[in-house]
Amino acid sequence: MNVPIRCLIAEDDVDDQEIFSIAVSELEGQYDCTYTLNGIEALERLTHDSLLPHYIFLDLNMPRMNGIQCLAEIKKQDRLSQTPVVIYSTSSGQSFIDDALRHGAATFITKPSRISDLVTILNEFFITQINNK
Amino acid sequence: MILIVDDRPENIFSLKTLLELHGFRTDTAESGEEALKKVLNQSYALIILDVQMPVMDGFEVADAILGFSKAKDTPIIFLSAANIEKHFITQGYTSGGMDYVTKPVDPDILLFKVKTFHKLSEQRRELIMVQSSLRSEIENRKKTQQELDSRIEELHSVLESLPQIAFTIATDGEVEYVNELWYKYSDKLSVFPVTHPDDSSSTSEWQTHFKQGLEFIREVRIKELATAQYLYYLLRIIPIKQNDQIMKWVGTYTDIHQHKVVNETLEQKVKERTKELSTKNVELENRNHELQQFAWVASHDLKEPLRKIQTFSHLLRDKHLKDLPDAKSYLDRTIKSSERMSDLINALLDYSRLSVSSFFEKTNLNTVLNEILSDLEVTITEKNAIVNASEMPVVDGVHSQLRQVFQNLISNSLKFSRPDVFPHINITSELISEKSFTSPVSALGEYCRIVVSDNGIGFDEKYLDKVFTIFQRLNDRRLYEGTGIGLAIAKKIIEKHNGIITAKSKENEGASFILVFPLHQIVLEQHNEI
Repeated sequence: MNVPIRCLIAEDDVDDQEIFSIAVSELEGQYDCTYTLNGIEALERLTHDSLLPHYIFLDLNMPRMNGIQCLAEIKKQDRLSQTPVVIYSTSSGQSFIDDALRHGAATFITKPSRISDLVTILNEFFITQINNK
Repeated sequence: MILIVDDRPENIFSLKTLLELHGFRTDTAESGEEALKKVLNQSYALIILDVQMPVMDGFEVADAILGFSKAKDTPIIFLSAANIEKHFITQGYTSGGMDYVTKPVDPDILLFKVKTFHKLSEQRRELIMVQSSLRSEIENRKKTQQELDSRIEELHSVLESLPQIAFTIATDGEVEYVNELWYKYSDKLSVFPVTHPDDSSSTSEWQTHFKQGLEFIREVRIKELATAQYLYYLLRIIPIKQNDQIMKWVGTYTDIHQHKVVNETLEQKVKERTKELSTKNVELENRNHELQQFAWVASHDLKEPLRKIQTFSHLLRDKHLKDLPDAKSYLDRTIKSSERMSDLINALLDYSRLSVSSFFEKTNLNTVLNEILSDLEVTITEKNAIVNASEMPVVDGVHSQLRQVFQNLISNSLKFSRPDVFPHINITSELISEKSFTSPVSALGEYCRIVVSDNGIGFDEKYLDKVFTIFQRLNDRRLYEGTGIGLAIAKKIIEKHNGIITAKSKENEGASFILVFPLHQIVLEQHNEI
C-alpha cells in the first residue's frame, strides 16, 4: 500500500474530527484525511478537487445540509457513484440506519464511546471494503 | 180449533158433524161456564156461540170473553133462534160478535161463514206472529243500538279522559269524534291541526296507511292555536277491527315536546362536548407528540456530549495516567458514572421510542430468545448462569419490542442474582384459554403464558406495583446496577401487545415474572399513545 487511502470526513464537531483522526492514526496503513464542517463544503470539495477520495464519511447531524441530504447529492454524481459513503452518527436508531442504507450508504457507524472501539469498527470496515473489491 | 157452545147436545152434534165433515177440528161446551173455562185454557180460531142458554146466555159469555186478553180477538158467531129482532142482533155485534146467524141454520151459509172467519182468524194469527217476531226484532235492534251507544259513550269518555288529543275517524275518512284537547289545536272537528311545513308529508303518509288499513305512527309538529307555536307530538292512528273488518280508526296525539326539546338540547350538548373533546384530544395528541419529541431529542442531544466525556476519559486514562493511580481511580469513577448515565439515556430513548406506532407481524419467540441469549453470552458465562427455555410459540408481535421485554427480564435475572448462588433462569411457555394469570392450560388456547423465573435476590411482594413503575428502584445501586426503566418498558410493551404482566417473589428466594398475551392481534397496528 504505497498510495495513502484518501478519506473525506464531513463533521461539524471539531472534537469528533479529532477523535476520528486519532482512531485513524491507530489503524495500520496510510490514511490521508480531509475534514469539512458541513455537507455543502464537502460537496464543493467533491465537485472541484481533482483528486477524489476513496471513502466519504458523513456525520448525520450537521447544519445547512445533513448527512442524508449530502449522501443523496453525492449519489447523483456519476463520478462519485462508486465511492463508498459511510453515515456516521451518535444515533443508533433503526429508522436512521434504514434511511441511510436506503439512500445508498455503504454502512452506518454509530459513534462509540471508546476510541479503541472506533478503531475496531473502522478496521473491520476497511477490511470488508478491500475484500469486496 | 173451533169451539161450539150450545145447551142442547143435538145442536152441538149436528154442527160438530157438519164442521168435521169439512175438515175443521172442533171442541164443544154445553154451557157458558164450561165455554169460559175452555177459552181460558186454549185459544180457538172461532167460537160459535148459542145465544139462548140457561144461567149464562151467549151475550154474557161474549162479554166475559172480551175481558180475557188472550181470547178477546177470537171471532164469535152468535146462533139464535128466538132473538131475531134488531136489538138482539145489535147487542150481539156490540158484545164482540163477528156475525149473527139465526136459526134454523142453513148449513152451507154457516159453513161459508165459518170458513171465512176461520181463514181470517188464521191470517190474523199469522199476522200476530209476524208482528210479534217483528217486535222482538225491533227489541233486539234497540238493545244492540243501546249497547253500541253505551260503548261509543264509553269510548268517548275514555278518549275524553286521556291526557292526549284523541279522535276517531269513520271508515269514510272523516273525523267523527274529537276530545276537548283537539280544540286547542283546531277550530273545527273536521279539520286536522295545522302541521309544520317540514312535516307536511305526514298527510299523504296517513292517506296511504288509511287505504292499506295499517296503523300509522309518526312524529309531527302541530300548531297550538293560542300561542301559534309548533309543538312536537307523536301521532298514532290505529284501525279498530271487528271480525276483520275495520269499524273505525282511533287516533291520538301524544305530547312529546318536552321530551323532544330536552333530547335536542342534550344532543346539541353532546355535539358541543364531542367537539370540545376532539379538540382537546387533538391538543393532547400534539402535546403528547411534543413530549415524545422532547424526550427523544433530549436523550439524543444528551448522548452526544456524554459520549465525548466517555471517549476523552478513556483516552486520558489509557494514555496518560498509567503512572498516576489516584488520578486513574478518580477517572475510573467518572467513567463508571458516565456509563450509568449513558445507560439511563438509552433506556429513556427506548421508552420514548415505544410511542412510535408499529405493526404486528408473526414473531417466533424462539428466535427472539436465541438472539438475546447469544447477546448475553458473555455475561451468562461470566456469571456461570444456567438458562433453560421451553418451546416458545409464534405470536403476532413487534419483534424488536418483544426482544426488549425478554432482554430486560433475563438481564434483570442475571443482574439480581445472589452473590453466592449461580443464577438459574427458567423460561416456560404454555397455551391458555383466557387472558388471566391463573387461566387453565388449553391446547387450543388463544393466549400464551410465559414465565421467566430465577433464583436471585427477589423482592418483597408488597413492592409489586412499584417494580413496573418508571424510575422505581428497589435495590441499592452500589450493589445492583440498573436504570429503573427496564420493567416499566417491559410492562408498556406487553400492554401494547394487549397483554398483562405481573410478578411473584420472595426475598432471597428468587422472582418469577408472568406474562400473558394473545397469540393473535385483531388490529395489526399498535396504538401509538404512551
